[in-house]
Amino acid sequence: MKLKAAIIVFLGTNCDRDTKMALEECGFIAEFVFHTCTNLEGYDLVLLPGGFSFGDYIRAGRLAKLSPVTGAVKEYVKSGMGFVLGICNGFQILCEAGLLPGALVENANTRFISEDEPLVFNGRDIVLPIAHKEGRYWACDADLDMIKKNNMNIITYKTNPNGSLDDIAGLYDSKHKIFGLMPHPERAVLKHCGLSDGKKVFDFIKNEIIKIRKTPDVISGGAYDRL
Amino acid sequence: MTDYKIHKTLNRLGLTEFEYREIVKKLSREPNELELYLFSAMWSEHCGYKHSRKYLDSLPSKGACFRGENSGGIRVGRHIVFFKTESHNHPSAVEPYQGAATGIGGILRDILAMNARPAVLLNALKFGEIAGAGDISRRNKYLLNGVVEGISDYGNSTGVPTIGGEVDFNECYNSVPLVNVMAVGVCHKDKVKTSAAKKDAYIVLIGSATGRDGLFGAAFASKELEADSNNRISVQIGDPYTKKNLIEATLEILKSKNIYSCQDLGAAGLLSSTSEMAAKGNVAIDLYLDKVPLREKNMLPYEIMLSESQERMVFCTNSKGVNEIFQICRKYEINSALIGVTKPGNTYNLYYNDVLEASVPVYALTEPVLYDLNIKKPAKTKADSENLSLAGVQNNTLTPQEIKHYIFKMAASPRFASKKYVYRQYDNTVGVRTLKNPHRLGVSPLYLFEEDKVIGFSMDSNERVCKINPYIGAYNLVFESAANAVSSGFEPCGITNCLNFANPENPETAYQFVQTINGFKDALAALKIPVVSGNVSFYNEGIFPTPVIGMMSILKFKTPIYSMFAPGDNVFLIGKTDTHSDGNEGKTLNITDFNLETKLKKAIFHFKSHNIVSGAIDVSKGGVLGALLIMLFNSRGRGAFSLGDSLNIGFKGIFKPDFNALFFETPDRYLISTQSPEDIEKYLIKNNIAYKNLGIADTTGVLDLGFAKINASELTEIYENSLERKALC
Repeated sequence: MKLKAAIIVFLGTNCDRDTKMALEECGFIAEFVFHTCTNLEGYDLVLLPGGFSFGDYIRAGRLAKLSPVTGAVKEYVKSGMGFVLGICNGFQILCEAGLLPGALVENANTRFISEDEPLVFNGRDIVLPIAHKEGRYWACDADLDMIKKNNMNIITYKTNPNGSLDDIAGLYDSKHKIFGLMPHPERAVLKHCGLSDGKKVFDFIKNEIIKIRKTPDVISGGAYDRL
Repeated sequence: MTDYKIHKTLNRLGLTEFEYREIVKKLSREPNELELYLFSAMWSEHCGYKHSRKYLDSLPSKGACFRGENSGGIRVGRHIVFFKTESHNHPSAVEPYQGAATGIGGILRDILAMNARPAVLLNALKFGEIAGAGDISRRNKYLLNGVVEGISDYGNSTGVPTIGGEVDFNECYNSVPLVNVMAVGVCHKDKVKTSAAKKDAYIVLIGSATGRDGLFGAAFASKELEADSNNRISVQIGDPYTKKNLIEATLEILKSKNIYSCQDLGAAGLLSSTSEMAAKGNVAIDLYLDKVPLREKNMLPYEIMLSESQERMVFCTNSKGVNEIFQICRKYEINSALIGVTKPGNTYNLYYNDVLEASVPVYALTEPVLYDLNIKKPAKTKADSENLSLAGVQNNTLTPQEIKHYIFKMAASPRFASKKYVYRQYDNTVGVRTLKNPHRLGVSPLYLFEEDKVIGFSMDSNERVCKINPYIGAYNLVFESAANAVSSGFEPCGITNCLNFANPENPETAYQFVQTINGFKDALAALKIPVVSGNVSFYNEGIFPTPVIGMMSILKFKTPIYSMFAPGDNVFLIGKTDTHSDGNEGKTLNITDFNLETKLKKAIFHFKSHNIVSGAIDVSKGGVLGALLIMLFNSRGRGAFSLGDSLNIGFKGIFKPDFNALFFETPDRYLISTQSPEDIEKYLIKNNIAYKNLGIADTTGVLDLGFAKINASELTEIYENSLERKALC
């Protein structure tokens, strides 16, 4: 059975079509869901793609957090309906919305960085493109401790390009059902791109979703209380 | 108006008294003040091409589609690939961040207006010297960083990748930098929208509200910058977020059959877009200026008409389409307003609160007086060979040690050094059309999903040659671009040009301009490729003549040929192997040998199709050694090889310590790397192509030239990072 993904489209999102192509290549059914949507029932994966939601005015992800669909994403998480993935701007939104700890601030060199970046993902060496100006991961010590304790730092930079704390390129939440990352796996799936490690990320997520489906767990209390 | 007042107004608007008399003739009466403003904008160089149009029309067009529309293109299968360049030199000189950003904005709209989703961007940037700590180099660094950040912030936000182009430095741009941007878009051939209006239809304006920014922008770009005047008000302000919504809204609107035509609002804003729509469709237009959404209070009719506020498009549609447009614009949270109607006839009427404020024949506006240029060949000066090639021509008494020193100097020089500092700030992978390692190729490749093909783009210029001989400069420039394509396995298909010159009313500048056109004409005719679109930027005072071309090419093989070598590769120099200069005037400038280029292209394509070439590069900046160094640098570092990026690539060969032979820049030469030297040699001998085996790539990490040994890691570090160090110090 094919898994069904919702790709959230905010005004200013610009990786929506790329992400759809990549997901379809990896065997998902992918649909666009506009930011005015308030119900995400029926999707196995909710994906917040890259871009500049609402122009990233104030700061990246700040306005998207107030959008109707972000409320629906929180409901989706609370009721344990499936898996949430945020890529680049999507990761920034997840942090802004409090679904993941910490924040993404301006790169240490103050400039946009676009590069194929070597990473360690779940213990394996991979290469994915990065493209961001606000991708420097920051969190307080308590959050960093929690991240380590719960094995949440699932993807890290090998040669930290932006000054992220603990080389963090992406994060799991403590229940391993929300995943946000700055690199762009969707840009490393299609054959002509020359990079193929994005498929490893999406295959991993597929397995995680199947795991969730096998052990349905209505989340109550704990990590999602603050939503 | 009194004579005195007219004279003063004309002066301010940049119209001549002769042109005023022509306007009176066309109207059979004196224009009112608003009408005079309209003419000043439409008859400016920027909109009317009054000094250049006669010459541009002579460029070859066979094979181009939709030339004369907002953008022209080349057909690939069932699709049209549109591409066009635009200059934003004047605004960028005054306000680099916004100037460059709105340059991107403007060129994206030209492509969008054809109903083509913008696919990629390129840019050619030229600045003055940035070495040293003086005021001039400080200002140039400010311009470089501002322009690059403007392109980065704007381009990246709109989701259109910036995949290539050129960055170059020359003292002649101390007065005004060149910011030439190019956009590429793709549309199915049956879905292309043109700009001709239909009669008895409606005119709808969408996008940002209209403000006073960019007022007189067209006129501003049509004269020389004055040092102490307040030019900042003529620079537009960009908003990439609105632009992104405008792109999505426009593409959604154009899906409707109720929409007849579409225009972007660029130079001379609402005026040029709507008058051109009317002229192309042979209809009359009534516009109601009080219906235009404004961002400032108390704007006068001429301000509304001439505003160059960004992020606006205009549509001609039937009544059903009006509501569709309104609905789509609500979804994307942008303005939309019904601002006019079309009628039979050919009058251009402007109403404000039901008062007819201006009424002129459409064609009077869109057909300005065209000038023949007054041409004078500049007095023959001794060729300034210092300026010609990167190295300049030296007397050949340099010691091996001095040459080694020069290699380090060249690797660090802003002209030669890697432009990674710049392109790392551009998102080059959004849109997933980009191939891996676009910067290790002669052209920037992009994947055409629509046709399952790879096409390539490049932007090139060579003002140093054009300054000495604009004909040879332009001729060689086309072939230089073609060589970039050929060395990567691509076949050239067509060009767009951006012609940056000083004041065309100066006969010597006029000569340079006309000779450039002639050089293009002959080179394009030889290659049998057309010009699909173009842009002219005059009044760049102090600059060398700088034609910039953007070339489209198409990959002839499954994979491109990268400008790299692998360990064990033999590296050959093919083509004109014996050319070096003795520094005498005349001999420094070689014109491209078309027959030899044809033979070399055949050879490279033969090697590629027989899978016996691993890498190739055309010899340009820095001569033979420059090309070899670039191959070496490209073969090192992150992403060069899928396996073992830690390979410490080096190269070993025997060279004579002959400065000119190593560094002199002349056309008709390539380096190729191969694992099958015998097959290559057999072909070259059989086809009577001169060649030299330069040496072998290895993994020693040493560049061994025979007369000097250099640590490749050290040199690569300098090459990759020196531009950043210079730009930020």
